[in-house]
Amino acid sequence: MKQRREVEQKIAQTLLVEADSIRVEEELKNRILSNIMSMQGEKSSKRIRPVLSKKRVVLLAAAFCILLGSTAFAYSLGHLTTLVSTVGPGYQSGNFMDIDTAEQKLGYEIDKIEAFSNGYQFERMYVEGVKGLDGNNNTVGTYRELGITYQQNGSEVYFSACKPFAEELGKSKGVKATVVDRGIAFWLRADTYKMVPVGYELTEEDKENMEKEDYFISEGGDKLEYSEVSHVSWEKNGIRYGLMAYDWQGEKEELIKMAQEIAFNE
Amino acid sequence: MDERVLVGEMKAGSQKAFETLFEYYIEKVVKTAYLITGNRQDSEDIAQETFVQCYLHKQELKEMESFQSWIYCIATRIAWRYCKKRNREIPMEELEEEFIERNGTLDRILQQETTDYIMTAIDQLSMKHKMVIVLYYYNEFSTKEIAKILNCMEGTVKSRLFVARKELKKSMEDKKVKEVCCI
Repeated sequence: MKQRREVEQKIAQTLLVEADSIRVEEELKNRILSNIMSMQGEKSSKRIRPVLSKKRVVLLAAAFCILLGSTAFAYSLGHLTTLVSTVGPGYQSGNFMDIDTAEQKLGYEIDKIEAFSNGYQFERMYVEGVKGLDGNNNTVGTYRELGITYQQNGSEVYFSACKPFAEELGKSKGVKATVVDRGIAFWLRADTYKMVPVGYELTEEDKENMEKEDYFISEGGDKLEYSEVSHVSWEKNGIRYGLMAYDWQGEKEELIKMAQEIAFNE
Repeated sequence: MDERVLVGEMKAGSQKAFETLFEYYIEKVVKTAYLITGNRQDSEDIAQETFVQCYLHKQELKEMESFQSWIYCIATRIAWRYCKKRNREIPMEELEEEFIERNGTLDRILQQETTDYIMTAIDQLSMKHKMVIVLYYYNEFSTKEIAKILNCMEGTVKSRLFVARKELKKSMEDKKVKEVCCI
């Protein structure tokens, strides 16, 4: 009996120690709640967007904001109705030399650059999963997306590359300008994001603003915050690329130039 | 607040009640899923799916006092699916990464402390035995509650618990013998 109790104590203690080795971050909680809220938003036809951490905007923006346009949140993709990030980073590195490993994770090579001519330098990269759901929330497929953060004097620019679902490819609504260079179209968008805490009640003004093609409300932030999001997207060899900046101080065309540097980098 | 009241409010559409329940259970669900799958990424995905399902199907919860069993029932089913899928699809490279993730650095693997050793033995149990061990010893559910969560007879839970405990005890004894031999 005593021996059995000893064994049981050891099992319980081991499980406790193992469980204590992982922490549940606030970011994870916010992300899960935001995804749930987005579903509620769809049902009630509210267009609150579940994108709040800047990194997540990078990874999902190309799918949500750019290619779908602003007519609805993750609608109109045939059997595919919703895109969600699979939570938690799959692979991360602060060394550009590890791009080979990231490409192995993706399963294909991408156009990339370590530093731009305007001074923005590679800072971090990460590979994460994106999951497509149908109307009944069944997974219809997944793909991996590479994100890179570039930095210069505290200002950040986010790059993303992925092979999305075929239904996601193509030009979106709400494009402000298109530049075609050497057969590649670069689409520029500029949107206003109002970041709100989870559970935020929409005002009448919010509802009016949300009718605009370039105005979005994202849920999951800690406080009310406004951001201007500039985004350039392009497609090459079945890969969709995106370059995004918050409250970009320079000319919008400069972002397109940066995109061209990546696309035509030899 | 009484959980039954919160569940009632959640069913009536209260977002705040749902978030309170979410806040209370999220950590437990992630950690339970981690102990079952041994993979952090999967445990977070499982938690996400669990609460999405909970939110979407909240009206289907009949007895308000059984919310805890219900949420663990959803979580363990999803975890089961993830494990089955992983066993089929997991690439060798990721298996190695997970081994390191679970066991820590190479030094730690070499040291093989008691908890590491027992955890390895738990990992080697079949899925049905491992689930019972986690729910009983980590979550501290009774055999009756586990039967409800896993949707099986209480006798089945007791039997699985007996077999699993026996296997773990044997692993611990084997380890002791090895240590004595080394000395």
